[in-house]
Amino acid sequence: MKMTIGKLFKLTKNAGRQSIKMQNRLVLYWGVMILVVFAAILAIMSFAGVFSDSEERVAQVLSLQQKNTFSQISEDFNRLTAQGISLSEKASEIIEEAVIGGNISELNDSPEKLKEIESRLYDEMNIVLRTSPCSGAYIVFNATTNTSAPGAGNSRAGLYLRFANLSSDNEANRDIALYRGIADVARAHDIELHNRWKLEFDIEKISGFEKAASFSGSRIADGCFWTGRENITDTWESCIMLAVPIVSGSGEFYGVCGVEVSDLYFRLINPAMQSDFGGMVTVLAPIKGDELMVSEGMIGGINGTLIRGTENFVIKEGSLFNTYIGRDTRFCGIQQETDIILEDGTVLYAVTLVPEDHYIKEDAANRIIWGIATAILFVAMLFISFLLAKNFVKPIAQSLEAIQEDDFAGAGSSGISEIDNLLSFIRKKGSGKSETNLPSDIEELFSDFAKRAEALTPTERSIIKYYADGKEVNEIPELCFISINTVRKHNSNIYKKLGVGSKEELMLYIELFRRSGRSDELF
Amino acid sequence: MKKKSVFILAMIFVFCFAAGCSIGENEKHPVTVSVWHVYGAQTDSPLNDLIDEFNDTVGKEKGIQVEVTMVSNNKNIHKDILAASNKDPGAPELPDIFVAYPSTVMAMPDEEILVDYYDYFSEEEIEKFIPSFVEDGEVDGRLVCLPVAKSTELLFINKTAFDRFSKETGAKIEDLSTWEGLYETAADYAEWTDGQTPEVPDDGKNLFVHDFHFNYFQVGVESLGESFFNNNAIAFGPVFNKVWEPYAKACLSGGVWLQGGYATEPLRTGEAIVSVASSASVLYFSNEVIYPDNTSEIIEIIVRPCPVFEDGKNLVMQRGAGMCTVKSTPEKEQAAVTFLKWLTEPETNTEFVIETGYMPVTYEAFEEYLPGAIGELNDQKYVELYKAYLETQEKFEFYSAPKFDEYLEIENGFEDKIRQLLLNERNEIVSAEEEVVIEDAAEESLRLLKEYM
Repeated sequence: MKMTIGKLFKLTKNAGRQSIKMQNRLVLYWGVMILVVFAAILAIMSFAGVFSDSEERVAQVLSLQQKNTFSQISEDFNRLTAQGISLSEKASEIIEEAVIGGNISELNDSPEKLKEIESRLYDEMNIVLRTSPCSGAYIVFNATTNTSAPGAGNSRAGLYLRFANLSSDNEANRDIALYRGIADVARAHDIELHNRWKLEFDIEKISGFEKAASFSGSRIADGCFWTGRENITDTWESCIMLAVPIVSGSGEFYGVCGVEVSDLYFRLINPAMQSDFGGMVTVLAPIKGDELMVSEGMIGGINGTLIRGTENFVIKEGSLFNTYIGRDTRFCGIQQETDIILEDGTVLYAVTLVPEDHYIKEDAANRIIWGIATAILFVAMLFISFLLAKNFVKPIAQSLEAIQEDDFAGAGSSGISEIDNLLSFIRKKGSGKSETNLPSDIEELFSDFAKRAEALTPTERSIIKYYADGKEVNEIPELCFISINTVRKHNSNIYKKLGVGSKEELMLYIELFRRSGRSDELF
Repeated sequence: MKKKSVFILAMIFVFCFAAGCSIGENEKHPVTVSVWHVYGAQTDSPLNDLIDEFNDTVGKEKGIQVEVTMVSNNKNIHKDILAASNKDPGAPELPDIFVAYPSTVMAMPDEEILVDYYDYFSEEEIEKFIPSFVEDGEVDGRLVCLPVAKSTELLFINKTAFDRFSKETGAKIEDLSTWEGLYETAADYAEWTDGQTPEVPDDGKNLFVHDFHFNYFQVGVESLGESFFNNNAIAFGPVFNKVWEPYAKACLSGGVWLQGGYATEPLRTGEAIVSVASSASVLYFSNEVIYPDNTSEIIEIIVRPCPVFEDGKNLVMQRGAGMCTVKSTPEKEQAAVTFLKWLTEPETNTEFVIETGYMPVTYEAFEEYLPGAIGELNDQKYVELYKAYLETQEKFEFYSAPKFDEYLEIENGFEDKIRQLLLNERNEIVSAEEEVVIEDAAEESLRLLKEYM
């Protein structure tokens, strides 16, 4: 190969001075060589991932989904907060109507009054529950049924309604269960008691109660906040809760109300959207340091992924998207800060995640395809280059060999016109000496005779050749498979065409041509 | 030269084919199987924990994730399944797996949408199950409700409250072992509790609550040797009257809970102290009774076999729904079956049922794992439950409800109507100015019931 390229370089130098045909061949050869180099570069680039668009596609898919997720979450939580505020105002009105002196403590030890208020509030809460994107609604009064009951200090009356049969899309047919509140209220409205029903709330287990009780602002909206993810006592579910203080017109703390978004509900209303890279999971969780605290937030549907709701992820920032590294799972994702602020001031982030392995595999598959394609191109071009080079050099090498051996006749045609012209020139130059040594009139005689010989038929030439080889007339019929009469007729034609009068004269010419090395001009 | 070209072309083909194959592999995502179940309802669900375990082990290895999308009770799931399968407006999508009784399946518009487990379980695998449990799950020769846990009806007693009543009246727990005794005691209890507050008339309390009044009549009539159904309708034969009489008297005397809901509800609020309910309801019983004045009491719950009629045979309802799989893609069906096979493996199955108050479904689980698991129980309530369960197994015959299309309609209609009729009649008795003869009221209620059915 190295030798071939060396020869070609030498030939290329002379190409400008030679015929166009050779240039064309060189152009073709160099074209192929350029393609080889191009294929090699392609291969390197494809293995480096330059041609894989998976990264851009993941970013595009994530970005689109994130836009929807963020807008949906923001809208839902805003709506819930508004519903919470409205419920608080309604509860405040109903309590104020029920207590004569405007003092909530009047409800202490008054089970009948509490029952009346709960019954009235049931309808309000039922509306909130059925018209809002939540799984439960609650109201806690700052009063208890029995101040002398054990644990009365932390016990508060109220109403807590939860959906009993949540599923993604049966909003119209959801059954409600009474989780906290007076059992008779449930019976009056034909709803079941929750499997873990209790009459009252334990305020130690309502993280928002204390903070709501300390609210002293004039605008209820300023006192709203969300609690972090907490287990719903005695159940398998956990939730985040909106806490809205209930205050009287004069600012007295009446209690707290709000809504609950359970992890199951969040999962159902945020199903995993399927993409080419697997299920896209919605997460609403705080970020602490460089960690996405999924365990403290909510996670949507997980269809098509192996994500666990109890897992936290270390965030590795990227240019188009981030990588979220869990215990044994990795995700690509985009995050965005929401307006949802927890009790302790922590902000929740809306995050869209998609399993990294699908993207990695697709990226790898793209690289493999590009790699294989460029490798095939590379090999094919190399192969064509090899064939072209071999065919290009072969006639040149053969011609050189013929020149070295002075066998111009044996060299024949090279297939390259420039080489043939060169050989012809060398040949002429090599045989030019014998021609010039002859006197001009003799040379003319030879030329005239040779010219006349061109009129001979192939059979007549064969017969002359036999004469030149020393054959007699009577041997010719057998050699040429013709009769003696036909031979005589050919002889007569030969003499006529060559302008000779006898066989002796013909033999003299043949001998002269042979000695001059010009026999090929006769036969 | 020709050979070389052919070789090169072959190599190109192989490379492309390999690349194509590798892309196909990459498109494989984990299969997620959604489940609606009843095990635990709104409490801590033991099945959910097992599902987490499955997802972390077998599921992870095989690319299967089981996702619980509803934990409710049979009534709610039944309602949603029928709404979904009838494609009612606003109905939810059917999950991949759900818990249901064959009666729910038969009420579906097309039972063929469910997987026949005989297509996925080998004969050898099916033989490991207790045959009657498998038969229970069959509909038209297709195994559509795979048994994963079975239960029966047991008698739950708030012993703490009953002891107080017993101390004052001499009532005995043993009296509750027969229906006659139980209903008589119920009437006595209503009278006794009414007498506790002489200043408030007619505030007697219920002693007894039954999860399914329909089951009481069905099993009661059958135990006394008469067929409850005749041509897919309630027979209302002579024995029915015998079963009706003590029951109706107790109900109209105020000794029986006639409002809706499961039996655990009035026990939790102290509005009843004895119940007949599924063994699985143990998960929902609370050791704490909360009274309307917000005082509470920690109680002792004891469990006994279901009462029987004095001259009837020991017959008890076999309960426990099965798991149905909705037909979908072969991958999803296979994933669902993989999970169910894992759940019915003897060790897993025992772990599952022992926490939920059920019985396992395979011989191996019964014989090899259940005795050990019972021996390790610490919660007195569960110890009582399994003691009663084993006694039931030893002394009782299990009754399986017949399967016909109208069954569910009859059951629901009967259940609602009988409670409503007797509750109305009871309210009339309470509000009547003149004394009402209970027997007459009972007879009138029965007439109305027969008329309705």
